Amino acid sequence: MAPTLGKRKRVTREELERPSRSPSPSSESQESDGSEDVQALFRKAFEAKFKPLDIEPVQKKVKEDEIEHDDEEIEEEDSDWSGISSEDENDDGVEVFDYAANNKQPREKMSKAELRAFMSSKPPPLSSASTTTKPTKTPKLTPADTTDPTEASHLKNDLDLQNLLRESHLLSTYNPTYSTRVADPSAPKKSSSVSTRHKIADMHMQSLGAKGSAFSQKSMPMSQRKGIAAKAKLREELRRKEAKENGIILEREKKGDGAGKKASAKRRDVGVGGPSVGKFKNGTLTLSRKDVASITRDGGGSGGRKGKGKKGRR
Amino acid sequence: MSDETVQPLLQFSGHRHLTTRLLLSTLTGRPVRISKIRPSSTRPGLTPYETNFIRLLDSVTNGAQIQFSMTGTTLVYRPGLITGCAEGLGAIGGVVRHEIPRECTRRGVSWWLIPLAILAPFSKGPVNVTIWGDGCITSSTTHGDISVDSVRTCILPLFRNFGIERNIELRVLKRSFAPSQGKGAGGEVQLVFGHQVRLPKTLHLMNKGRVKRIRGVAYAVGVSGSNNARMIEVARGILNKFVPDTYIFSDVSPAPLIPTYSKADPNGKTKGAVGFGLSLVAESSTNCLYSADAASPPLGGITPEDIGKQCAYQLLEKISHGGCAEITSVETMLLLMSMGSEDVGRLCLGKDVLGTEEVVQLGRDVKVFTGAAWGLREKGARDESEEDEIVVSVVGRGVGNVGRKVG
Repeated sequence: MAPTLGKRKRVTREELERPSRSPSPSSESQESDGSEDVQALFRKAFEAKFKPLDIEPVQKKVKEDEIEHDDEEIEEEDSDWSGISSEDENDDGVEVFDYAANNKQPREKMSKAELRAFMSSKPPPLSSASTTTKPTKTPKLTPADTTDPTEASHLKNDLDLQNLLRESHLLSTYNPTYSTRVADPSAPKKSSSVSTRHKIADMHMQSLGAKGSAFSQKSMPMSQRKGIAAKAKLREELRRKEAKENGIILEREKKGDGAGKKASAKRRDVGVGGPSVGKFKNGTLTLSRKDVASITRDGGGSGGRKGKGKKGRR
Repeated sequence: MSDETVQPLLQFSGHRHLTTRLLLSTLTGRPVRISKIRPSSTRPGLTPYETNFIRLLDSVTNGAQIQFSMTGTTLVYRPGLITGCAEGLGAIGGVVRHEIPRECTRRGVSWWLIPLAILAPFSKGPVNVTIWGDGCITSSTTHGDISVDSVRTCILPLFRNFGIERNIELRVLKRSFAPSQGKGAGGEVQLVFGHQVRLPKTLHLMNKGRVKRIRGVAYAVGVSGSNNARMIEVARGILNKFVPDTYIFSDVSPAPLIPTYSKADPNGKTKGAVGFGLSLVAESSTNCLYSADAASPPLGGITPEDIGKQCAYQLLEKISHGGCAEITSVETMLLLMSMGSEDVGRLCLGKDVLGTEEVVQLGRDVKVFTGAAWGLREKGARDESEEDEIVVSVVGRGVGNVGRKVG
């Protein structure tokens, strides 16, 4: 009988372990061999009458398992047995949430400026006004994001318009009134295109920071310069005349051209100790004829009044 | 007085909305008679904090007349000119020092500060008031008064909408907490309001936007600063999911010392009440503000985690009410609007905010004082997705600051 044999084997193993762990085995196993034989006899009789017993060996097995695991899991078993019984549903039912324990986010530091702005005695500034927050970063990105086609085209058109406004006077100089003097209306554009293009490029360079115009010659014979100036003046007069005849309104004439510049030139601002009239050099105050006239003449001009006023101070 | 014959007394009854009525009376210059103030109570008449508020009104105005009945159940108030803190009218060095005695500890100092801030833009000169004393509680209270931090971060920025933004400061000189029975608080707060206007700008606030950032102040008075960290941790844990731009600052201060004034020990001082609290402010993309406050009760026994959680949930609730103004700031907004130029201003309010007793009564009182009622209409006509809000149209009185001719 296989089960019996198996059982006997188990018993022998138990006997081996017995001396080390005296309390754990059951009281029956502590009895003498004689009593065990009696039990075996009873069992044989029982099994002959009914059917082989297989409960006992299973029980023994469990016990053995417990014994084997005992050494390792004393604490764990204790904790298991102390709590709720081994019904598995209860273990699933209890859930513990602790936000304070789970949510340990790293606290990013606020900038000193933001701290000062918020914790000062003044009411805190609105977030749009603050400089360090994220919202300000996004507007910085917007110029770069030219993916929006309408925005890009708007920007381009705007630049073109500004350029056109800047250069329009050049165009109008060379075909001043779109008058009928030129036979072909398309011709002026063509003919002016080269020189105008150069001028436009020159202006662009100047706007980008060039020292001066490439077309202005620095040194040349005075007669030539005078000639150029006279010609430019003539051309300008002609342009204005034609415009007036045709009823076109041109830009305002510049006052500071040529001789006008000298007249409008104001007196240089002398320092605190400087003379209010005349020129002080080498310990001598030199008065020009004009200065004298302005002083002596009554109401001779603004200079005279000014001179008087300053006299009191000196 | 001559105006007694011209202006009849406006009659009110009951102790409720006393500050609002006195405020409206002072702003509109109409005298009031308030009767039946707690007639059947065991302690009838005005409470100490209410008389103290009247005293504060008296100190920033000139020529006000106040009459109480024998029992204190009837009050006649004839307002004077709002002079602010001009030298020679009770101000020392341009500062009015206003004491709140120990009997007034039922109210937080914001109960005095908010009406004072509403008066200040209509004053003749700059307002500079220091409020101090045993009854000065800077934290939020269980009575429902907000903390001074919320006043500074949620109420005072609202004045910007009305073109009032320069020289406004609220300095917390000493922090304090609501004390238990028979003890003192001992806080000290200074309100500087240097921007006076002729008329506040007309306000049109229709779009509440979306909440984009949350800021807050955690304050601990006389207790460990770790309480602050615990409150902040919990509040951020809840709010960070909704708004990542959440930051709560921490303020730790020692308990205020209150002199005992005893003969045995002339220099003796006792510590004021201690505790910890949290003030949160949410700001929307259209600069609408929502605030929440929570603080430990006088008897203690509540963990900082609970305070943090309570405050965070309170903030979420206030935001869920909707509208461009929440319940603590709506009085300020509506009063300034009704004192504005003779033009219709509009403000969008949530139904839960508009339907409260305070706001409804405020509307009625404004109608009595100025003669112009508010117009209400539903907002959600255009887009159904919006939760229903009400647009309140307020006609300004157009008189504004009588003490100022320009500016």
